[in-house]
Amino acid sequence: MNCLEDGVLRAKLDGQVAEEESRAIERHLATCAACRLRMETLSANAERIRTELATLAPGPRESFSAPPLAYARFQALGEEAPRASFFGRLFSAGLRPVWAAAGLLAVLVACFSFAPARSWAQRVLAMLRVQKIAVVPIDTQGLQGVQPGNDTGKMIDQFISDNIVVTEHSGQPQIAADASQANQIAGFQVRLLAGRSDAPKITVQGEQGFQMTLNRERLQGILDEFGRSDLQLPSSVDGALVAVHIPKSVMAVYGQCSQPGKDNSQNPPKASDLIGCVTLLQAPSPTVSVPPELNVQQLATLALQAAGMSAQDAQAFCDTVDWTSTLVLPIPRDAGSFETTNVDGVQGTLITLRGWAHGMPGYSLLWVKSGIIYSLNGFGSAEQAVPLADSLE
Amino acid sequence: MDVATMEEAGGALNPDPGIVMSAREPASRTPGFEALFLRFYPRVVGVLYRLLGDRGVAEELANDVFWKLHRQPWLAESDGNVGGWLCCTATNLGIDHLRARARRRQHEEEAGRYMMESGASPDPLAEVLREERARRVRAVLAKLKPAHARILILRASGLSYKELADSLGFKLGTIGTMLVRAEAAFQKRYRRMYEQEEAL
Repeated sequence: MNCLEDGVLRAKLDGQVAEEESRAIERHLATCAACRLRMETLSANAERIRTELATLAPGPRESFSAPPLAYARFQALGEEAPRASFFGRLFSAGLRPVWAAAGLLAVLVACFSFAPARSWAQRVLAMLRVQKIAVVPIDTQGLQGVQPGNDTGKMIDQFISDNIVVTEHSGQPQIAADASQANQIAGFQVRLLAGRSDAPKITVQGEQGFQMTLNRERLQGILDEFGRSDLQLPSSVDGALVAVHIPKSVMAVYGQCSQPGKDNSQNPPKASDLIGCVTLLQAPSPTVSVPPELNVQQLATLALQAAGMSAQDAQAFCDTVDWTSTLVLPIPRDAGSFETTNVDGVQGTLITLRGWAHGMPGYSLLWVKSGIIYSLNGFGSAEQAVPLADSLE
Repeated sequence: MDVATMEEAGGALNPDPGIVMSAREPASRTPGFEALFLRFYPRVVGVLYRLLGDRGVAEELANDVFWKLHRQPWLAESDGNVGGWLCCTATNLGIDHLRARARRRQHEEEAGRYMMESGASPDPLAEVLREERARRVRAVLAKLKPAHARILILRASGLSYKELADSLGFKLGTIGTMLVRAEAAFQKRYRRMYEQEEAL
């Protein structure tokens, strides 16, 4: 019998070989000093590793939920409202079918809009933060073909499903009694609207993280299905890992607001109630990591063209953007208008929406101050947005 | 973890369909799915706990593992190797989570916090030492090739060679060799990371 392979000896150590083979191994070991020595070495190594890995086992005081209880929780989870990402929440109240496609583009462009600081020689991931927000109007006529359920919609859904890995789960939002408690939970200075006399409902959403591994072939397939074979993605896209980390965020809800994600079709909220509904979201900047090989400006230009911009306009816009620190949000041109405005001592963007939700007009005011991103959203006239935001304290 | 290290470690994990990013539909109430959940939940949550050392996170990720199964009814309804698929998916999710945590360099702080939160123990010193060793082991696993980390954690979770072969999609006869390689890689990485503090 020839000398035994390490794998066979290892299986023998674990008692994972058939009886007959086990006896044959023992007979060989009885006559082969070299194999015996290897067996002893393997045994010692395996025991050391086993001891190390045993430290990971749950301790005697660590108990898990009983499976029936865990199953009940699992079922309850299935009936919860969907958990939106930070980017999703920015626009959640106003999402319409056409916005779904724009929302995806927002995420893609947002991911691509944090270019590394051109230190191409460094083999490190760039960790960049939002310092300002830029809005770009897009013509959504071309996106009408992207609907949930149709071929392109399914491809996008499948792409997201297959390529995005959630690396950090936020868990359930924590309710805070006041700003001070929210500070404590969130770890940054939470501000509230002094311009509102009513007390807000404050919740703190946990940290979230996800990674997206880009697959050139599939992305190109979506563009082809979308009828934009003229847009060719560069090969550097393939396999690029984009990682997004979203810190804890705080949502303050004032007035009677319908619950996002809840089906209100049977009992639509009254316009008189909604007019007092204001939500204020605040969070430190998310960080986005991209490999330095990725030509993000080129990708952002392609994404904007896919969203309906001409090549010339997309290039012109991308040239004006500071790609190291700007979060770019595409807004459907027919959904409303936007303007830059002074708010909270800095420059912000006020988006006026014709149909925000429940057929009501609304507004969204976005700005970044001292590393914190603010998003103030409400129904009715956009004129009240800036004075309300200026009352933050 | 930088890109080079990520590539060296085997690239992105999780070939399985993603999770959570889309709206959840009501979970299946079919008896078959429920039976699978009740049968495999302890093993899935056990694998995730070993990787992450946090009961809450382990239980949350376990839900995501079963949610993935729910989205693949053909798998749940088949006579195939559902247990192996669940273990493999749980390990992939756990390693992804572990690596993300390590990449942000928060692992040590978090581990320290868990230690502080671990409460009273009959032998506080032994508990602290055990936690420190576990922290190191998890840090090493996060740096290994995913294939190595997967087989080590599943074996430590009690899977037999047959179950490992079924879960990982390898021939039974190769499991011993793969374990030897994974253990050698673990030992080498452990020494590289902690040789100044101790000899394994």
